[in-house]
Amino acid sequence: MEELHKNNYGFSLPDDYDFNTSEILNRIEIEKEVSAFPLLNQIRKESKKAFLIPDTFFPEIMELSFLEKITNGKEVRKNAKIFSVSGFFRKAAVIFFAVIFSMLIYYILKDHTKKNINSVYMNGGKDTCLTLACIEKEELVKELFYEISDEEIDNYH
Amino acid sequence: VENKEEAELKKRILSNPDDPDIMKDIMRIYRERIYWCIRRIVLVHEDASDVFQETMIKIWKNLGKYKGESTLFTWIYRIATNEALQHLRKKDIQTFENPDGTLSVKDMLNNDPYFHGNRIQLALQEAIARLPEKQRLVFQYRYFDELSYEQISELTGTSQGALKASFHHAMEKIENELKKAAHDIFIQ
Repeated sequence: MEELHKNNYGFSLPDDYDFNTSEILNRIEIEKEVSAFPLLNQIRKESKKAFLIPDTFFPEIMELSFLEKITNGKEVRKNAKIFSVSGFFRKAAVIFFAVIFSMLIYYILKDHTKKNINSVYMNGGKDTCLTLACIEKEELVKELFYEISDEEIDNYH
Repeated sequence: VENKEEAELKKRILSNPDDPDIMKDIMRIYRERIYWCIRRIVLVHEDASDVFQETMIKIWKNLGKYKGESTLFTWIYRIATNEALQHLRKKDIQTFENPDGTLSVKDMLNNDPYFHGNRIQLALQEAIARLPEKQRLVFQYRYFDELSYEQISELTGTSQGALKASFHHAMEKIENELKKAAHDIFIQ
């Protein structure tokens, strides 16, 4: 009988059960505070139920793939941080690269145009294209070029 | 107040923040509380789901910075709150007000398939949205999440006395708005 009493007549508590008195007292305090406002008090329980979540939401986020996504996110951000610089330096870097890129494009195009002109007017384009269509096109361009009067050329700056 | 499980998790974070199982345990213990903290602020499930992911990444990224000075719960809750508020700022809906002065909360919630509140619930959400940001957070933490003043104080850095006053003022304002809404519903 004494043994039974010690074990609460067969009833027991989980090992990690904790009487969280401060949590219970906090809830009582909230009830008291809210009860002073009848409408807020009345709709409190319903308010919590008004917002729903898809049934699959929590099971899905506990899947390994979601956790991997998070940890991968860390890796991505870690790497990205290496290049992370302040706003001023970021702007300066953008301007610098824009200038370099424009200069590069300018010189490539200039060189390419020069080569084309040389190819058409000096070598007759024979270096680059020898098909019948190309030769006809070059002849046509040449004719148009010779039709321009000297006066027109002088006026063109 | 931390329970045994939370205290153990805290120890593990402080000793080895790179342990990959930590994140699994954080998710298991706090996922619902984190989600609801976010959802109360951003209101719509789709947004809450995005912010939830961002929050988890931020927690994982900053585990090494956690020094154990505050409880793990408040540290996580603060990150979740900041992410949710930042999301609202990005979307430019800090006050949920349309340029013409009308609130868009009703539209947002009516378009959310995961909101099943009636008209008085919509009125409640509109009234909450009209509160200043800090008062809104205090109200949500206390009324919905049932946090203690001690926890809210740790989260917001405000004294418990000021929080009590803030919660009371928020409830007064909302109760008045609800009375008006209930009157309108009754007349219709």
